Formats: sequence, C-alpha cells, structure tokens
Amino acid sequence: MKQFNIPHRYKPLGWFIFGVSTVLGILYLINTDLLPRWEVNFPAVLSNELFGETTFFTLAVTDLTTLLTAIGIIIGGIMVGFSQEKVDDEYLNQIRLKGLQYAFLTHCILLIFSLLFVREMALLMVLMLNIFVMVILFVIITQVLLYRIQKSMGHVE
Amino acid sequence: MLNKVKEKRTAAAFTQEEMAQKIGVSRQTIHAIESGKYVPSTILALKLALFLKCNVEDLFSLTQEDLLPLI
Repeated sequence: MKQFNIPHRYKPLGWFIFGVSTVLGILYLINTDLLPRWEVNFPAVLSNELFGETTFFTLAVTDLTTLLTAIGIIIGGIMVGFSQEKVDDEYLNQIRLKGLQYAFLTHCILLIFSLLFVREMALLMVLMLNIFVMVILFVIITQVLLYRIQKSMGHVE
Repeated sequence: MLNKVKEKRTAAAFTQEEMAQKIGVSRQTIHAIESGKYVPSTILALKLALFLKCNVEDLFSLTQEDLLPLI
C-alpha cells in the first residue's frame, strides 16, 4: 500500500523547524510580549473583528510572528512525523500510523474534556492550543515508539 | 499466528541484519516478526519464504484461536 512519506534527508530540517517553532510558541504562551510583533495586512478569506462585522476576502492586520510560529509547528511536526528512517519499510509505516491513531484519540479526549469543563474565553484558548496538541503528540508518540523498538532489539542475533 | 522465522533463519545461519539487508527491510522489522509483534504483509511473507527457501506455510501458521471462526 502506497503511503505518504517524506525522504529521510528532511528529518533534521523538520526537527529544526519544529523545535524552534515550539520554543517560540511556548515563549508566546508564557508572555505575549516576549516575541517581537510583526504586524502586516494579510489576506483573509473570512474575518470577524470583536463586536464587528463579518467580512469575506479582505485584508486583516495579522501578526506574522505568531502566524509563522504556528505554521512552523505544524509543518515541522509533519516533516518529523512522516519522514522515513534510513531503512524504512511497512513495519515502520505501521508504527507511524499507530502514533497518529494515539495522537488523534488523545486529541479527541482533550477536546471532549475541554468542551465539558472549560468555559468562556478560556475555552477559546484551550481549543486554539488543542489544534497543536495532535501534531505535537504525533511527533512525541511516534518517536517514543521508534525508540522503544530500537531499545527492545538488544544485541545482534 | 505462529511463526518459525527465527528457527528457519538460524538454521540457514543468517543474522537478522543480513536477512533484513537482503530482503530490503529494517532489522527492527525482522525482530518484530520473529517476536510475534508484527504480522508481515503477503508480499513480505513471500519474500521471507523465498529468501529462506521454503513455503510461506512453513514460516507462518494459524493458531486454534485464529481458526475458530472457520470451524
């Protein structure tokens, strides 16, 4: 079965993008002023200002630092999670799918929990963070599974 | 699913690494198949049988539990 995979050579670049973006994302969460703001008018398909009107196909003031950080986490995560190992095969593909499955289920559980027990603006914040949870969990779970397999192999037979 | 890949491989005096390289898979995969953690695809099972010069049925067989729906 043909599966979506990225060549192994992109893995280090993926780790770099994912690592830098995640650190920037955490810094932003700690204090929004820690990152320099880079505001530009950016095209938006749909825009809705607080207490304002909904507009389609417009330009909206956007902070490029946070935008690039968010996109970096997603693209870096995909590059790490889906890049092949030096020797790759169907078993490692299955491990990646397992990682994706666990990440998706955890994401759904967190989503249900958030909808049930988080309220008002906090819910908006948690839902926004939950967008990245799946990608981050996918990377972590897949790498842990691959590491555990490597470790469990022990000596050469 | 029972498998005799390890028995056949050691009888043929190959290491996991050698067999993995010849078949074009990772050593992790051979290890996972031998330890019963992973059931290979038909194509990989056929490659293993070809490499070990035997039939697929010599390498893999169903357990009583697997056979239950057929009985």
